[in-house]
Amino acid sequence: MTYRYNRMIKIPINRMRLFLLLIFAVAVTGCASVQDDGETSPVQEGSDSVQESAADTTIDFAALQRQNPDIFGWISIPGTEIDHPILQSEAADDFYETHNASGEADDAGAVYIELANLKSMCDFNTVLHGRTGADETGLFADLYRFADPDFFTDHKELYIYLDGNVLTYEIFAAYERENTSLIRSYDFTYLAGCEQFLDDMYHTRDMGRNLREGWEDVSPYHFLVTLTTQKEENDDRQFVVIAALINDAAGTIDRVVTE
Amino acid sequence: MRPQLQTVAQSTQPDEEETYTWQEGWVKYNDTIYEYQEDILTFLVMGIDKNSDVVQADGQADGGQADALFLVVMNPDDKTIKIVGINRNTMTDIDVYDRDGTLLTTVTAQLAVQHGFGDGMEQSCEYQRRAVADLLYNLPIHGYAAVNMSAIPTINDSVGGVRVTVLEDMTKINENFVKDKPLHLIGEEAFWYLKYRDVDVFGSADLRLERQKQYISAFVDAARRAVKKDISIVLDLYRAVSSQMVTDLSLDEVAYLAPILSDYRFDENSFYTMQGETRMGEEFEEFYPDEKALYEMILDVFYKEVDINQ
Repeated sequence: MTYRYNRMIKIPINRMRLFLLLIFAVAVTGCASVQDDGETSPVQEGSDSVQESAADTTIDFAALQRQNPDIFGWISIPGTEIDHPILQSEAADDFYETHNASGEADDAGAVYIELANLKSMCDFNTVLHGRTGADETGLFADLYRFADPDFFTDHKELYIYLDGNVLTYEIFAAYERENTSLIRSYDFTYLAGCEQFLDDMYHTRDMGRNLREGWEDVSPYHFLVTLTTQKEENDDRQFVVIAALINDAAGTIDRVVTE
Repeated sequence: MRPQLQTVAQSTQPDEEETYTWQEGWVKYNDTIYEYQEDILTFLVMGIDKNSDVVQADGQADGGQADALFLVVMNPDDKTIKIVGINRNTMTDIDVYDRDGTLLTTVTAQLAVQHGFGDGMEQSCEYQRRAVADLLYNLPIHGYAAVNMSAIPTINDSVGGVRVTVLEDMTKINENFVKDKPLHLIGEEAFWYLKYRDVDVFGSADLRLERQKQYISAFVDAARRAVKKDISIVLDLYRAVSSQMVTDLSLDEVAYLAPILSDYRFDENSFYTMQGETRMGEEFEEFYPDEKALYEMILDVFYKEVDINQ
């Protein structure tokens, strides 16, 4: 039995117009903010091999995909160093665990999703992986800052850019869990799998779990992203930051929830 | 309109009002920051309900239940021993394995049954250790000892017996077990004092836990006195019960830990139990812990306040 999901998030019309204008502008101009010679674009720290940033609120997907067609999105968390392309490899789920965003072998890896997730961000839970290396550097090292209750309180939003859309998510949970694959542990394509995930999330036993007030009733009808990372010295635990979609600028996010 | 460049640029600046850097493992509760006490050593002691020498179980779910579960917590910083009694009926996640040790599913059941889904030996103990650690917010547990209840008389007598005041009327099983009567438990008496449970009485597991709590406190007291006199009794005891015990602690490790028993402080306030509610399930009693109280107990026993002005 299937239910058609009625979009729960109402987007203010004026904001919607602004976003559409922005997207239109991007489409027409090809987003000139990233120069091919890279002279004005901020260079990523660490081993990010792709020169682009969401700091100017635009992402040039045409240029990024010329560099690597596996790039389909961009994640930016204001107040952190997280400002990276998102990739999906058709070759292997964990290809970008050991390859950078240009596809070159690189232990720093890239931010990626597994094949079980859709690149459209229309799944119940899209799981993004990124590494934390030694010396607390790495593409997702800053996720650990969300363990600090004050930092967590002060940093609510994250953005995911797709080609032709900007998605706004509110970060509502951050905690440490067993280092098992969420994608393999839960079947997010069924209502029961989503409910199980939520149940486990709310009942997780982590002394330092942060949960934002007002987010006690997340349901399988939300759209979530879960960002995961691990420390090499403690690889039986993973740190997760979970956020829910609160704004879908172009209105492309939808899905049928299967019971 | 969001996102805005200005907002992004501003918020990447470090927070000026923050006077400390958040450390991994810190926990904030009621505006106080706590940290786990890394030097603490925590051991899980299991009383296994199989009245014979420890033998390997052949098949699933018959490795014997962990009838009594205790954590012995040694803290070198303040030289204390604390004991945490864990209700065996605590409803929690139990992993169900088949004969080959393949995980079949996870169910909610009494904590004590986890031990049964193993071989009755190390595998069972590891399963039980993991279940207890998970229940207690992924608490590090550094070692375990699963002792068959049949070993109780040996253990009891090794410290010259244990003195208790009988907590409830148990004249059904022993005419000496009269409520409020002071007793010097010797041999089999100790076994029955700890094991007896009137299954017809609701909440009898809680009553038994009270008796176990009383006995263990008195035992630790007796053991401290005995060890002070002659430290070798710990090693003699280890050897004497080894056929009725599964442990990952070697004789050397026990020898290293033994002096702690007499040096460290332990009194009646050193025993912690879980708060919660016992309800009758379909067949067996179910204990539902008070999560807030459990969280606070873990902070109390295993964490210490962080002085952020240092």
